[in-house]
Amino acid sequence: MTEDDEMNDRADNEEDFVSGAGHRRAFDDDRLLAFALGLERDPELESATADDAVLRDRLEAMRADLDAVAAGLDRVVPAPPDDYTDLGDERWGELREFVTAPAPAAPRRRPTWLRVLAPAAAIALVLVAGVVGLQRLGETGGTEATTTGATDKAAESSAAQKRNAQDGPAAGAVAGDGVAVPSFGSSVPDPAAYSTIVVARAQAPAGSRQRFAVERVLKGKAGEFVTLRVTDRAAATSTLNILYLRPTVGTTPTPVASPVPSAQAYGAATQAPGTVLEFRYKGETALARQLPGDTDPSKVTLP
Amino acid sequence: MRRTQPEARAEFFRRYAPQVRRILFLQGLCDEVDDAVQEVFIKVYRADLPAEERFLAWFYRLILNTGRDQGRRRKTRRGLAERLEELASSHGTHTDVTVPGDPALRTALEGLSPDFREAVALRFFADLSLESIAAAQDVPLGTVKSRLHGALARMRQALAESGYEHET
Repeated sequence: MTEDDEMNDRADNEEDFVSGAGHRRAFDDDRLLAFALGLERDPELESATADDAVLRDRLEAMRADLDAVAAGLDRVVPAPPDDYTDLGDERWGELREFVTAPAPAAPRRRPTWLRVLAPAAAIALVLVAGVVGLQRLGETGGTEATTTGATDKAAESSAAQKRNAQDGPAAGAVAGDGVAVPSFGSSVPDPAAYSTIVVARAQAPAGSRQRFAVERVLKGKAGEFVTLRVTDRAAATSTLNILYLRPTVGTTPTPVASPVPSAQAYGAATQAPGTVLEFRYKGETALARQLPGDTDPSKVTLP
Repeated sequence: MRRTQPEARAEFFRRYAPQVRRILFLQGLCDEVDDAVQEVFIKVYRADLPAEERFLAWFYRLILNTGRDQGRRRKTRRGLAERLEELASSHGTHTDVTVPGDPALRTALEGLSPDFREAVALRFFADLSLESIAAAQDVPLGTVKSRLHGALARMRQALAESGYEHET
């Protein structure tokens, strides 16, 4: 700034005071910049610009300067060309498995041997459940309708298993008509692989979280509620579930297909194989195995 | 975005990769910037994603942290202004345009502290709100305002001193 400029500024300022426009001095460049950037709401400045043409011009000039800076940033750090995001380009080689393969985490979550064993074990579970059901029917003299219902349930479960087996690990979301399709099939998680196991009732999911009210602790310690992060599908509200939490070190945090269904292990739960859903709990995999609706929590036991 | 949706991942990449690149570049990365972009998305795809309402703050924090980590490993010691000049001449849509104010702007950017440049990048390239920038930088709102104010004042001054405003 030259001396002449400074003199002119001073003259302008003096004129401001004389003309009653001295309030402009309160609106220095810093204040105008903050306002123009949207950093601060400034009602005083806003109303002042309505009455003061000089102040309004200064504000417009400030905005033009900021536009020039923004345009300059666009030139100095230009957006990449349109083909930059072509995932077929060699530079994105390491991303390919994530954007073309079914799921990167699938092998860890559901190893090949489990994909083979789980459907077989699930079918075995269905069969045994059917046998147990028939036995109970014989003991209690149940009606034909009950048997039909059990058969339907088994058929439905079997169909779900087949769908799951066909669809592979990425099929967790493939569900129709409200039938929960489990992530891992209806295998029985291995209790030894988890340090905390509880019987808990599912509450309505909230966002990606679902809270369960603990009704009984089967293993380890747990509070009144357990909140899990939903990964594939939330448990149906109000259903009773066995939650397998905190995988023990050195064991695989995935459900283990039980070669022999534990007919007595889960008490009433053995009437029908429950769906198994995967969750996350404190950064680790957790499983929820749904129990039949009429299950008495006090009768559920671990194998 | 779910793990079971590769196409959603691809779409997410297509949508955000350009701005991730610009943010990382303004953080000071150059030759290694595409590796860093790739690293960002691999981290996202592998991550245990936070709840939806916290996702964007988490995502931009991840970008900034990746840029900082890569910056520490960066081999080249060329100045940012020099690298930005190279970038402008090799990429983008303004290769044929020589604007007098640009060298001054590059120098001004180089003179800013990394925190200030990050705030500028998040504001202008990601179009984040002040609150979101504060969440991404993990600083109070007032700090973001102060950084943006300081950065913009310097860049504005640099442009003015370069005579840019009179020539456009």
